[in-house]
Amino acid sequence: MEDKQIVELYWARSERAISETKQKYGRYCRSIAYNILHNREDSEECVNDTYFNAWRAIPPQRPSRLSTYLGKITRNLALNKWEKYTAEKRGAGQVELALNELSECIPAPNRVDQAADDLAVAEILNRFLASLSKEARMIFMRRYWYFSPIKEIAADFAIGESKVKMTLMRARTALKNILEEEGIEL
Amino acid sequence: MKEKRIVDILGLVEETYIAEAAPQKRQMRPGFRLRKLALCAGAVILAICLSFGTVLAVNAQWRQAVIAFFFPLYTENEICEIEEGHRSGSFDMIDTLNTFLEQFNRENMIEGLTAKKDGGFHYTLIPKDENAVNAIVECSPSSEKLLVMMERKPYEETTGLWQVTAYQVIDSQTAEEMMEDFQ
Repeated sequence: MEDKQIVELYWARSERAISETKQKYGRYCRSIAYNILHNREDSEECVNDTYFNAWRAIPPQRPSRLSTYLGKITRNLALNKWEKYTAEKRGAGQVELALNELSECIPAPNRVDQAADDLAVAEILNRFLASLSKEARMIFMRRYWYFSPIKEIAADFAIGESKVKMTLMRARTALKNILEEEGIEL
Repeated sequence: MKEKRIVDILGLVEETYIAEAAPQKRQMRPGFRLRKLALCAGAVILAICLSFGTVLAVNAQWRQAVIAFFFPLYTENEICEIEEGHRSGSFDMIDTLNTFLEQFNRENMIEGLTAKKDGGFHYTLIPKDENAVNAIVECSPSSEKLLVMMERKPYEETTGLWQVTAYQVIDSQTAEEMMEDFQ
C-alpha cells in the first residue's frame, strides 16, 4: 500500500493503518531499534510504541515521507531507552561506539543558546552531507543515524570493513574541518 | 551531555538523506546466487563421484558393467573380471596363460567359444608394461578372439606371480586393430 493511503487510514482513524504500517515498515523500525538497543524485547516494545505514537500524532500531522517519520520516532524512543540503559550501566549496541567516533568533531554544549546552535550545526551537517559522494553519505548515515555495525554496512555495500572505516574517518575529518571553518569551537 | 547533543543534531538532518541510507532488505548479489548454485552443483557431483568410486571399488560386477559401458570399442561383450582368490598363478607368464586357456575350454567359460588348440594355443602377446600383458588368443569360431589380461603381482621374495585378472571376447577386427597399434 502506498504511504499516502496509509496516512489516509490514520486520518480516517482506521485501525488498519497500524497493521499496514506494521507490514510495510515493521522490519525497518525494528532494525533501527535493535541497532541501538541490541535487545529484541525492548526493540519490539519501541516498535509498538512507534505505532502508538504515530496513531496519536496523525492527525493532525500528515507526514510526507512515512518511512523516515516512523524511523525518527523509533530512533528517538530507542535512544531514550538507551539513555536509561547507560544510566543503569547496561549499555549495549552500537550507539556508544558511534557517538565516541563522532564526539571529536561535534562542538561542546556549554552554551545558553544551544538549541539555536544545534540548528546551525545541523544546517552545516546537511551541507556537509550534500558535499559527500552518495556512497560516502549513505555509509555515514548508516553508521551515525541508523547506528548500523561496521560489519553490516560492509556487507550491504559489498565492500571491506576497512573501506567502511576509512570512509567514515575521512568523513569525520572533513566534518571537523567544516565546523572549524564555520567558526564553531570544538 | 555531549552524546545527547550529537544524537539531537543527527536527528535534525534532512529526511532525504535518512531515506536514502535506509537499510534495504538484503538482496543476494546476482554473482553470489550463481556461485551458491555452482557450489551446490559441485557438492552433488562430488558426492556422486565418491559414491560411484566406492561402488566401483567394492563391487566387481558393477565394475565390469562400467568398464564395458565406457570402453565399448573392444566388443559388445563385457569384460569378465576374475576376482582375487579365484585366480590361478604361476611365476611363468606363458604357464599362467596356458593353464587359464585349458581351464577356459574345460569349463566352457564362454558358451560356444573355445581357445583354438592345434599343437598348442595360438596367441599374440601385447605387453602393456613390465608387469601387465594382454594376450589375443585365436578361437573357434575364428570370427572371435579372446583377450586375456594378465598381471604380475608381487609375491614373497620372487620376481612376482603372473595371474590372469580378466578376459573378454573381442571380434577379429578389434583384435587386428589392437595388434596394429602395438606394432
